[in-house]
Amino acid sequence: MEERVVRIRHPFGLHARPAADFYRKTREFRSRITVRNITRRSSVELPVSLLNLLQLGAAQGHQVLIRAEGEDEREAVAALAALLDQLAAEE
Amino acid sequence: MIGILIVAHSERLASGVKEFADQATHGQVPIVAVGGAVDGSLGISTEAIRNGLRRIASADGILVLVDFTSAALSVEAVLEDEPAMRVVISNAPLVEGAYLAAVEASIGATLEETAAAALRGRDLIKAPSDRRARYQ
Repeated sequence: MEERVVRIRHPFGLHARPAADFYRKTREFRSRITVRNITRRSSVELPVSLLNLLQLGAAQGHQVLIRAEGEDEREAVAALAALLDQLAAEE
Repeated sequence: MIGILIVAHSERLASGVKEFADQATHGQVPIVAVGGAVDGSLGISTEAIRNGLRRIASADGILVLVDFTSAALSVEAVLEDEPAMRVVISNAPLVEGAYLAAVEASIGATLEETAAAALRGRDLIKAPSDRRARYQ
């Protein structure tokens, strides 16, 4: 199992286009991937889906726990964290 | 890849939903927005629906998202003359459905998979502060 906490730096948070880009990236891996918005106390760990990403309510500055379990778990977490950095840098 | 037709009673409403879905998919999915009556007032034009369907017709099929029932009925009426087209008219909410469907279509999903993705928009929780909300 591989996990990492990332801070959402995108000004719109993890919604709309960034959420769609994140979801598409998760589909490149075989591992089981979950996300949890640890900044919101009420948030639960959710399997990655486009609907669940929208429901995270992850705004700019929030911390999101990305967890992956499977044969490519390390690559998946690294790629997803890198993607969030890249999306924030593009804005 | 499947195509998506957005039908609303207002041209601006339909175009706005398309703009949102186009941005989420970087314009990778064929999406056509149809809205308003022929004279530009609020309403539905079956001719515009027919032209829209033809623009994105493909073997993979078309998912139609509508704002209200009469839009769906107009699409059904047009399809009576287009028996060869593979079309699913979705019961999904318009904005959520178009967004979810477009992203699903952008990763090469089938018409059935895309239609299922759009319907999940009914369950979207938008206000995390709502304690009665139940995550799926």
